[in-house]
Parts: sequence; structure tokens; C-alpha cells
Amino acid sequence: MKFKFIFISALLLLYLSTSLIHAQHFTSDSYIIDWGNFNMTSGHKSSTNYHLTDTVGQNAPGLSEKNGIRVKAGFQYIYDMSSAISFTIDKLNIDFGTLVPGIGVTDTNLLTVTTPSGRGYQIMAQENHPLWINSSNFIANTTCDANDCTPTLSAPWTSSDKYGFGYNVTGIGATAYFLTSTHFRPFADFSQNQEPAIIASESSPVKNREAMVTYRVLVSPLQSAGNYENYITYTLVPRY
Amino acid sequence: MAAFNLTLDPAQIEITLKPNAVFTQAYNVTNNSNGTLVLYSSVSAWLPSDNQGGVLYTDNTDSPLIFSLSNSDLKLGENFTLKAGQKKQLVLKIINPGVEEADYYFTFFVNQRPFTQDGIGHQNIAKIGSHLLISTGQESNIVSPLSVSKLDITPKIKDVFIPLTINGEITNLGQHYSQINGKLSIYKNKELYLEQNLFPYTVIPQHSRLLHCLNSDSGVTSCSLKIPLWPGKYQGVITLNSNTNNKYEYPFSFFVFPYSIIISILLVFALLAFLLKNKKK
Repeated sequence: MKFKFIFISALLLLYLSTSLIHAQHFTSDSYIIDWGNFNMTSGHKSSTNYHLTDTVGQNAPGLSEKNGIRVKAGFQYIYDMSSAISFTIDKLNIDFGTLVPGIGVTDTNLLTVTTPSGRGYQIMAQENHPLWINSSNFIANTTCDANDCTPTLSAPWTSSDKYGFGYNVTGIGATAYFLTSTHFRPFADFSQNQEPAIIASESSPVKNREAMVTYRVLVSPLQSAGNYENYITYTLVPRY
Repeated sequence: MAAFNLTLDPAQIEITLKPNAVFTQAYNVTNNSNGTLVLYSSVSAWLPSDNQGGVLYTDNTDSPLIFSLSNSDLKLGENFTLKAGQKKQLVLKIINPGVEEADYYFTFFVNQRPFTQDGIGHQNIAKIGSHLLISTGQESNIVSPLSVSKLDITPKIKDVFIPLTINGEITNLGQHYSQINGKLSIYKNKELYLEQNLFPYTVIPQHSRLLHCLNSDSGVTSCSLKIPLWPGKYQGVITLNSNTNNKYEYPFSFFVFPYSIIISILLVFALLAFLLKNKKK
């Protein structure tokens, strides 16, 4: 009698502890794929010193490849699936306001990058033309304090009598291009057929990596009054 | 929330196209910003610029490949809008009309249009790209010969307490791009001391990539030996393409000597000798 009671109780406990099992279900606008396979157990386990990802019972686990089609079976592949690249710019309008001759004015842009696993990135920048009212009335691109900076080489620019428009970038990816926050460069000028210049890059994958662009403009007392405008194109690509 | 926030997936594809082959690739573009973005797509050619995967864009579009979008409502260069939070799938179609055996490198760009109607305003704009590495020819499974160059383990005699990093480059001597498939093995007293898989970078023909290893999270890490190292002779080998006819091995060796310990002992003895000498006086 006692054995029967234990047996029925165990059966009841097993029944109550079961839950609905879902196999894989994928959808898009055009297709629905119901995947028949499910495994016994899988996931990500961790302790103080170790972490383990496992799949038990996966049918045909591993990488299968034919004619350029790859099937990665097994839940461990979840952890290397990051294949997207993301680019964020905090604002698109930079307004220096009314410029006072001899006083440098700055504004900033925050660029944020996330790359896929295994890949670094490079950000390039290029202006459509110098800050101008028209092609004969413009603020020249900076040449820095010692006339030694170029679209691909930064140099100190702190003097109040070296007029122009330039930029500096700070952040981990920019240290190879701008030694300090007072190192500036002129933008590569599309109207002069200059190629976009790299302003930040890294060879390892990054998540939410930030680069701060500081624009600086300094005009002389002889600069004509008016609205000077241009735009900068930022290009993000992964490292191949 | 940011003014421009765009995600492009995938960030790179690598394909082989036989003559007259047609290939399509779907890209997901997601607008994560707080406003509508006006966008268009384009394709540009590039060349490798360094040994770290950097690229240099070129005006040279001397390629037989034909690019177009398979989307029924959109062509390359045509504007489309993405509202805040919206995702769109762009399907790039590539046709290889030629029979030439060659490699071509492109970036599929999603470009932003300025908000201003005339497109000449003062608004900054952004573009984001995904690389296309394309081999054309009759062969569908091409493995280029890779080799190790500029391996640097100097000085050849190491100290037990100085971490050892193995630097070098993997060079592609073939005609087509190839992914690094190899491992670094270090032996001491003919027993395996350390084995690490190399990071599977893609190497462009006649170019190199820096040597890196794969860590436990499938990420990039330097190829290094942890300290302390036991004194003695170590032998190593870098094996590439081990499962193919192009298997390549690069052997090397180095010594670990307890410099720091010996110098410390000598210093202590010298100090003791100096003290004893002074005491005798």
C-alpha cells in the first residue's frame, strides 16, 4: 500500500513538474521555419573561475559548409553571432554662433561605434568644402601653429592669430592620429579631390566605443560677415 | 537619443562566384535613432591599406561585376526613408558575367541624405558600410598558400618572469583572399606545452595580417605565454592550412634563462662580500 502511494505520488510530481516544450520557430516577412529539433539541455553556466556553454542532444552539431552556405548547429554559436556594425552620431547640426575675431570657438560631436565579433573599425571624415558663403568667400582650413598640419597629420593649434577651421578627436581609437587634445587637423576637402581621412580606428572588436570630435574655428578681424557653412561626412566601415 | 544611429547587418561577406553566377545577399538596416532618416545605398571598391584590415577607397571601378538591388521598389542610389525604430531589408544582387579568375573588394554602403532639400546645407551626414570580398573563377573552394613572415621572438633568450609574446605576420602568397586556419604549438622537452588557434583573419593576396590568437570567447588576443616560464629550450611551430594540400609549417625555438633570479643572487652575494670586507677592515 505504502509503495503504491509513493509510486503514484512520484508520477503526480513528474506530471506537475513538466512544462510545454518549444522547438525552434523562425519568422520573417516572407517565411516561417518551424525547426523540429530540440535538445535536452543547453545554455551558459558560470562559477567564480569558469564559464561553460553547452548543448546536449543537438542533432548534427557543428559547422557544416557547402557551396558558400554555412549551418552552425549547436547553441554555443549564439555567443559568436554578433555580425552587425552600428554607428551613432549624437547631433548633426554644429552651430558656432556669432564668431568674434581672435577668439577660438569650439563645438563637439560624439561618435559611437559597435563592431561585430572579430572585427575592428575605421572612421573616416571629409568636408564637402571649407566653411564658406561662396567659393570666393571662405574661412580657410587651419594649417596649425607651425603650418605643419595636413588632412592626415595633426599638429598643435593653440595660437590666437593662426586663423582657420579644424578639428581634434579624442578617444582610444584616435590616439594614433591626435597625440593630445590640442593637436588639430584640417578636414580632407572633397572640393579639392582629397580622399576621406581616417580619424579613429582599432583592430579589435569594440562595443559602444566613443570618439569625441572637437571642431574649432578662429577668424581674423578681416573676415567678411555672413553665414559660413559646410558639412562633414563621417564614414564607418569594419576592418576586413 | 542620438540624431543618427544606424545598424547594418552583416558587416562582411566573403563569396566565390563562378562565371555567369548570380548571388544575392540580404542586408538588414535598422534606424535606432529618434527621427526619420533619408538613406540610399551604393557600392565602392577598396584596396587593403595595412596589415590590420584597414581599407583605402579607390576610384578604380575596373570590375566586370554587376551590382543591383533585388528589392522591387528600390534601386542603388535611390532614396528610401526609415522611420525611428524601423528596419528594412536590402537585397544586393551580384552578377559575374566574366570568366576571369580574380579577386574584387567592395563595400556596400548605406548613406544618409541631408535633411535639407537642396542637399548643400550645413548638416553633417554619415554612412556605414559592409565589406564584400569576392573571388571569381571556375573553382568554388580556393585555398591560397599562406606563410609566416616577420616572426619576432627576440631576444632569443628570455627571462622566466618576463611574459613572452609572439609577434609576426601571415602573408598570402596566392591569387585569392584566404582565411587564416592554423594554430600555434609550443613544445618543451618534446611535450606539448601550449597550443592556441590563430585568429581566422582574412588575408588579401600579396598582403599580410598581424598574427593573433583566438581566446576562449572566440575573440582576438595576442599569442603569448604566461609567466613564470620554466627554464630551458622551447620549440614552437605555426601550422597553417593543415587540412589542405597547402599545409605549411613554420618552426622556431627560443630559450628561457632565469636571468632575474641569478642577478638577484649575485647581487645578494656581492652585498654580503662587500659587508664582510668592510667588517674585516
